[in-house]
Amino acid sequence: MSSRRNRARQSGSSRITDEQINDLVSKLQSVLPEAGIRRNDRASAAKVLQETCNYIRSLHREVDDLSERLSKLLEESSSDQAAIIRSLLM
Amino acid sequence: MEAARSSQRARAVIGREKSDSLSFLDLGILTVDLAGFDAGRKYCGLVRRLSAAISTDLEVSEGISMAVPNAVGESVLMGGGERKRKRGSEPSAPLSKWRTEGEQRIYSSRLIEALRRVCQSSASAPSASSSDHVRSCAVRKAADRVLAVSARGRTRWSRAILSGRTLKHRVRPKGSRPKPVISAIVARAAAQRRKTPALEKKTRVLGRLVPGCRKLPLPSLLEEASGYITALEMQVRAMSTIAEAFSAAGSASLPPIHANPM
Repeated sequence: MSSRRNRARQSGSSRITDEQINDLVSKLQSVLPEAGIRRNDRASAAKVLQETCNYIRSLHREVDDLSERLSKLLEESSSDQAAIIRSLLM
Repeated sequence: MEAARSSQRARAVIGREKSDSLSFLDLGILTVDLAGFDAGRKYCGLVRRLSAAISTDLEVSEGISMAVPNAVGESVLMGGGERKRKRGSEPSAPLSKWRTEGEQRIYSSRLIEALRRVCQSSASAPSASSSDHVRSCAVRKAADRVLAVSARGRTRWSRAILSGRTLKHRVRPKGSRPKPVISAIVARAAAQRRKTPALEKKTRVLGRLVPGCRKLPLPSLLEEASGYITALEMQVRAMSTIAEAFSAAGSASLPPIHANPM
């Protein structure tokens, strides 16, 4: 079964099977932060895609907030502290 | 014998990773070894330019049309992953590499170096240009770039980030990258027969969110998205750790260290 999948992928994915897509969708679903218990196929592909988009957007927002925070912290800290922190984190 | 030699080389390269960053050039060398392609040599020339561009902080505007087939890249990274897993006991899936603590530490150290560069460059520039917004954009870009480097060029989103930061900032100069367009069209036609229009729309939105994946067929897009999400999670964790450390250091008002000048 995996060889069929590999062959499909290598030949330019000319035969995308439903099963392949469902597989990937479930893998994506496992990555998402699941608050509910809707793991068993009840989340359709559309819902998973929607959740994925929302999650990526929220992650982007977090990264933006964090980078803003970091830039503020950077301007008020000295290079000594940067060296200290690097040694702390390693 | 071939396999032994290439695995030896792989181990040497991965060992070097601890001190400095694993450049794409090393990846190209590994490619040549493992696959013996002519394409590997072309790739080496391309990534030599790319690694030079990264180190001087330029933006490479040409598309990195990867001559590396994904299969080869996989085997290379699997070898690297095995090696690193001696430290942490993780399952052998490429996604969980973003969850190991070693990876996060590597990313944090690289990020701090990049941040120091940003800080220095903004200090040397006149204060008119270093408004808060500009600087946080610079921080965000640096963080994304370090994240993409940590992906070691294996994923499409990382290559897209490194080759020009297309989505967030400017319109791409060329229309599309020199990918095999024909098979993409065929694949999309085949897939569209099964997809409903709602799915199609969501797929397009997702393709816009993940960098470099606009024209990707659905299976590859899903794979890229899952890898991208785990990488983003690691980025958030690392950046919040660094921010905590900075604010703790700031509030604790550490005495300046004069004893050992760096």
